[in-house]
Amino acid sequence: MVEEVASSAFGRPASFLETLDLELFGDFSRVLLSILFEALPFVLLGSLVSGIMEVFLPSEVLARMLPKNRFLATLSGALAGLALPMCECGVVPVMRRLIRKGTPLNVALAYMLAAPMVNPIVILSTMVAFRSMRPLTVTGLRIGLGLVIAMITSGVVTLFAGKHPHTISLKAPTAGRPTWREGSREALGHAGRDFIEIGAFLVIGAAISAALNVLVERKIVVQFAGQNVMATVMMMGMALVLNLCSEADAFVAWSFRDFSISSRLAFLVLGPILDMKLIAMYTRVFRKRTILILCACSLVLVFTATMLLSSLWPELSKPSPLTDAARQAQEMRP
Amino acid sequence: MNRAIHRIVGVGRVAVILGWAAFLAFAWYTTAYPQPGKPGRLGIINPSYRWLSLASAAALILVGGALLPTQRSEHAHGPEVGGQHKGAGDRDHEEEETASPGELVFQALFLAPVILSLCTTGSGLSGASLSRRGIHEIRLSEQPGVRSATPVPPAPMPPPGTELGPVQALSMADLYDYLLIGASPELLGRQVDVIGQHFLDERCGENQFLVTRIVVTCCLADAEVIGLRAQSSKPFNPSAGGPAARASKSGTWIRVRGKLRRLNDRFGNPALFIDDAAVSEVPAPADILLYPRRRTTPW
Repeated sequence: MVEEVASSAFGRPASFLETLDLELFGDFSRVLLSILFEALPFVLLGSLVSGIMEVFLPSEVLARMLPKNRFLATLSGALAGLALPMCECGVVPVMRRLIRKGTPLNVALAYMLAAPMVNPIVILSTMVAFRSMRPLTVTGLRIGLGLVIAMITSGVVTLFAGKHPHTISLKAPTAGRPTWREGSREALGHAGRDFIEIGAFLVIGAAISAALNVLVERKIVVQFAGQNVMATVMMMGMALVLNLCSEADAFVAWSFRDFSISSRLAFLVLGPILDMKLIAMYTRVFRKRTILILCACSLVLVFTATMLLSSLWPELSKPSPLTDAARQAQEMRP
Repeated sequence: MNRAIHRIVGVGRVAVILGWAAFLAFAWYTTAYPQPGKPGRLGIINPSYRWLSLASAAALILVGGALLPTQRSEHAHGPEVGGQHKGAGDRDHEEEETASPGELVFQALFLAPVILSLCTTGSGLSGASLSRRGIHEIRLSEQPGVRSATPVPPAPMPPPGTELGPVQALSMADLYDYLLIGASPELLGRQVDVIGQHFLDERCGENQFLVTRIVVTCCLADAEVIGLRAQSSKPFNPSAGGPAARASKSGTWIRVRGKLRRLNDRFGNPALFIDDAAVSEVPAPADILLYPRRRTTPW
């Protein structure tokens, strides 16, 4: 089918081998670069914040700010994105620095997982994207599910990841405070090192994602749009592969009009927590076991939560009524 | 030996950071001031985010500059272990100790996309990629009054006998929402004036084709292809009068004008068509991608 269409497009037969040619390589490199152009400014921003925190934010201040109660501490970590908004690329170096400064793992993890969803920019963009289709419901559910899943995942990871869940060595308190000039230079230096370290892994993740993006047929995904369970699985797969920034992913989710709201919520909640580039970036922070638990837990929780939601609120699991006509037209095809 | 490794790794860091800074600035420049026939390097992301590349380039120059004197002071003092961390250079020793030859691999990896970008040009996707993504074509909805997120402009009321100009006619950007939710019957009879790429699929009968555009929300990774069927009284041959190479290439840029009608495709299925389409070959627009959230994008 693909070959037929490609053949008609180019006016010549197109075999599988022929499609794996330089044009496809060009597509791969353009998609890879587009992901990097989008993500790198935010990784740099995160690295700069991380560098400033390293130099100008004493560990004791962080410790004093956190509630003693474990649940409240995790909740405050999950809500910290409202004060320190970060998308999922920028949040990794910040979280890394938080752990280095002695922030408990559950708090840092809750911040890392929730901040890309629970922040003013993403809340606004989700509302704008879904302005014609239950904006408050979709935005509210995204924030709610994001918070709950981030908190549970951080709790589970902290509980089961063992004594050494990450690869970061804790920073010993330094004597004296640097001058403004000295500190700025030092902060920029830290930012540079973080940027390269995280950026290299961003490139790996983006390359895997770009390859899948170019090679995988979208028809495989769309054909399951009418089946709630498979639609959710497919949308979760899309979240893993597309590597979208959480500040723009709501617009893409909106465009998947053939899919139910609940499956699109799975896309919106999973994307900022887990995708190819994030998995690669996590390897610079966590040990393998921790990453495995984090991946498994977030995948299971997102799937379960959206399934539960669609059974409690069946309306959300139905494809948009506006697409029924389109579906009928599709069925009329020979 | 350690000092030599630190020096190489340190120089590598500065080179990678300044390399990316130069590349981002170059990408921004080629997009802001494009040369005729050469799309800018940032033509693969939404224009709303392009300024971030220039800002990042400026920030990276600062970061690279900050790393330079740190390396110099380190070379002067050598890495001391267990010293009091007070000076800027000394504060970095803790992390410098972790510098290893392995980091050079990461540095090379991080620079690889910059080198890769020098081998590729253009801002669209190949025909094979478009086929894999599938074409979202505008379909007819039986429901009147389908609500669009961004409603199309009201139907113009031209004087009888006069032809509608391109401003009054619907463009691809106007039709974007309807491409996803289905066209309501009110759209039938509306004049359209669209620019897109010529494409044929198995449903195209004689003198039928699709006008397609790549729509991008965030970056090329989320690109989707939208298409509108068209039927012309005369067969369209992109190679007519053009270079011979064009005959084998679909994806030719065309301008199609006509009225929206309900017609049958090759299999007899009703679909929305631009009927009696006037087709002309046009040069590719400066920005070949369509951004549905930017209403300033023509066509």
